[in-house]
Amino acid sequence: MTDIGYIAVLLAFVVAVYSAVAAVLGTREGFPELVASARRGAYAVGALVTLAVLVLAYALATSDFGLRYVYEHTSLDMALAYKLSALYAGNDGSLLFWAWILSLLSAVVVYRNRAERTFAPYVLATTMTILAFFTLLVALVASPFDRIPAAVDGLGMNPMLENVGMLIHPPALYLGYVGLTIPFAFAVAALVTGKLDGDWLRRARGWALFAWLMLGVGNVLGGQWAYAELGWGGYWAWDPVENASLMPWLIATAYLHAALVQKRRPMFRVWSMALVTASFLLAIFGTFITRSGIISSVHAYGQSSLGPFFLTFLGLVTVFSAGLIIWRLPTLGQGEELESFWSRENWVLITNIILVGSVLAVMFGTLYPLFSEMVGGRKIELGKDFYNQVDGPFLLAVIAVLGICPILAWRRSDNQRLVRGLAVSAGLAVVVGVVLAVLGVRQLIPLLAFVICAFVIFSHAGEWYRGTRARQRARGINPLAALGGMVWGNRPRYGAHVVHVAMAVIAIGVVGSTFFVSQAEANLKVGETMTVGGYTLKYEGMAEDATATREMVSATLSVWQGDRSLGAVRPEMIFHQSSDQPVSEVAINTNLREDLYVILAGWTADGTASFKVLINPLIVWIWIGGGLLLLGGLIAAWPETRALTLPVVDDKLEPAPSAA
Amino acid sequence: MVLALGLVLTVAVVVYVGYPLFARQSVPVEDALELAIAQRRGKVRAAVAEPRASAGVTCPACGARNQADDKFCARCGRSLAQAQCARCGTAYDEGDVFCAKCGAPLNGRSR
Repeated sequence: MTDIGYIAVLLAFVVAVYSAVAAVLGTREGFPELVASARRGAYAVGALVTLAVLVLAYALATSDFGLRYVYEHTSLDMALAYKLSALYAGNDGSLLFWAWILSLLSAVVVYRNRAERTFAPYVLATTMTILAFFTLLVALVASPFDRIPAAVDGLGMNPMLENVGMLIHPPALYLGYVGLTIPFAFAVAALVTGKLDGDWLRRARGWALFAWLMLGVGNVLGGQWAYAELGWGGYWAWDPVENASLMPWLIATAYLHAALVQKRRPMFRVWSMALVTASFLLAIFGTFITRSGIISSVHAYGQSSLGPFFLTFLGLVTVFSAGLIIWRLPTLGQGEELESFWSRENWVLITNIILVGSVLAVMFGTLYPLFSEMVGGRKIELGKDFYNQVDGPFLLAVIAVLGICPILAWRRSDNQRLVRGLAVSAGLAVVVGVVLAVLGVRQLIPLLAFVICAFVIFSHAGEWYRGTRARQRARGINPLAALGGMVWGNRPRYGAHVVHVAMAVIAIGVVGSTFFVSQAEANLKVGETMTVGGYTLKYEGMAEDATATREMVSATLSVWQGDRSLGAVRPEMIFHQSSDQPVSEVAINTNLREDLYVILAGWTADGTASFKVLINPLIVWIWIGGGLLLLGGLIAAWPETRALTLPVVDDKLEPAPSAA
Repeated sequence: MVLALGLVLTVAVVVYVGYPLFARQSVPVEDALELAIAQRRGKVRAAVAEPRASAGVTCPACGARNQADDKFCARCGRSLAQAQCARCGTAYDEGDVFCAKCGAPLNGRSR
């Protein structure tokens, strides 16, 4: 029965190819029936891939070990949710999962633009072409529907993946990666049709924001998962795959800002085209390096034969989109000149250059093992020091610019207002710096970073304060209503502000937990104590527990901060039957100031246990910042007005033929 | 069994996707594109053209009645200007691809 899944994928490939051709042909040759048929094709592809996913999900849920994929990635003892999460745990399934998300997004975008006749057919053709590639891969090279002689039990999943993070982090990132396809498709449509004004940007905006938000939130979730579960005390390791998701996110950030300018003024057209294309290419590139086996990474799927296919696809898309952009360069290149250095346009450009620079640095570091192998014959991986030193300044510079932006006006800023606005927030930030220095923060770089973050926060708070006051006076309403009305009245602007503040808050957490970590290791007998960073930990004893599939060893420590008791923490070590490697379950005691992070490292027969304890300052602000990021993104992405989505209004954008 | 199911699936997909190509008379008038097709076949023309014969103008997008000399629909803002075929001078509606009277292509075929 599972062969139905295979047939569905094969059919989806055929229909996708047909729809791509029919949409272009129908539009070029003036056959609306053909375009209507292509639209139905897009819906059919969505249904077919969904059917394939349902078949695989059913096989996973019912543990049909006659399927190689189910055998390799699940076992009988796994909970249903994790069995289902195996959909994207392996190479083959994750490609199907990717195709599934793209097919659903395509169906939605086609439906929403069904009455639109300029871009929609080419958007459809682009997404269907990409879907054809993925469905072909799934059908021919990496089918999760391959059968094997049925086994009694499967190999199971890496126990570290059996975590709530597995249910949220990968799907969020997939939505982000795949979501980047839709703005790219709109860009291709604009290039092909030559309608290069702001229209395609308006239609692509929501999709770009959605993908960007999912990538950002997905990464924060991944960091949280790594921090809480993997037990090495960190949340970001500059691993190639982490880089692969950071790069499109940074480029998408640059794109969103370039698009913001282009929406208002005919500028940066080449920029936005190049950036939206690059973000899509980087998403594919990320998929490529996780699956090709060319770069080793904790996230990588096992080595597979998919590398050459992705490389070819990547090459074709690059040549195709670069060709389109060059072809349209005479039109794209037209635009207005920057008028003033102190204009928002110019600072968007500066931000873009910094962001692209930071991406190039990350790219260099990610590919360095390849370069070094080609030149010196040995793979050398660049550690986190390289990234922190090279990318740290870039990202700090971007955050510094965030502090200036809310005060800047389009075209040209009023100098007096600018100086007044900057002086207050910069002055307050310096005061914060002095206070921190007095309190003992003496290292130059983190001190500078904290001052910059404070500057960003004050700068935005100042804007909100001025806006609220003005509205309050004008309408005679209470401050809260004024604030709410102001934010709701211009959601894109104030949503962006929330995101900007979120970035500063995340930066505070990153700086704190990078520069001020203190750690201690100790071997303790029951009743002995250790102290680290103002905390005293007393080892109380050890307990064992077991279920059918795993044994847990937990140590209890009571914690004091000075004289104040903070209760007990229980770091654990878990031995899964299905895995040789024990999984460390850390105990974390969180407050707004710092995390006490306790790892049970091992024990001996005589009752001595060894612990590793980390004090991670300010780390909770990364997660708070992540929450703000989500909130701000949602505010900004909330549809502006209902009327804008009605096809009637869309029609109006196109003047009646020869109306003049 | 699987083959039979696959066959059924294939036929269902072909029928669904191919429907607009073969069902010439029953294209649903559900959006502007389909409206354009229907108008081209003369099916909807009567309905739209009739009220226009009286003093006012009916908006082709939302159906609201407007003054005869209005340039934009008062309800939805769509342009009410009537375009004319370059070859024979017959008025046509936005979205038409060919002139209903002389068959000349209107304003480029790619729209």
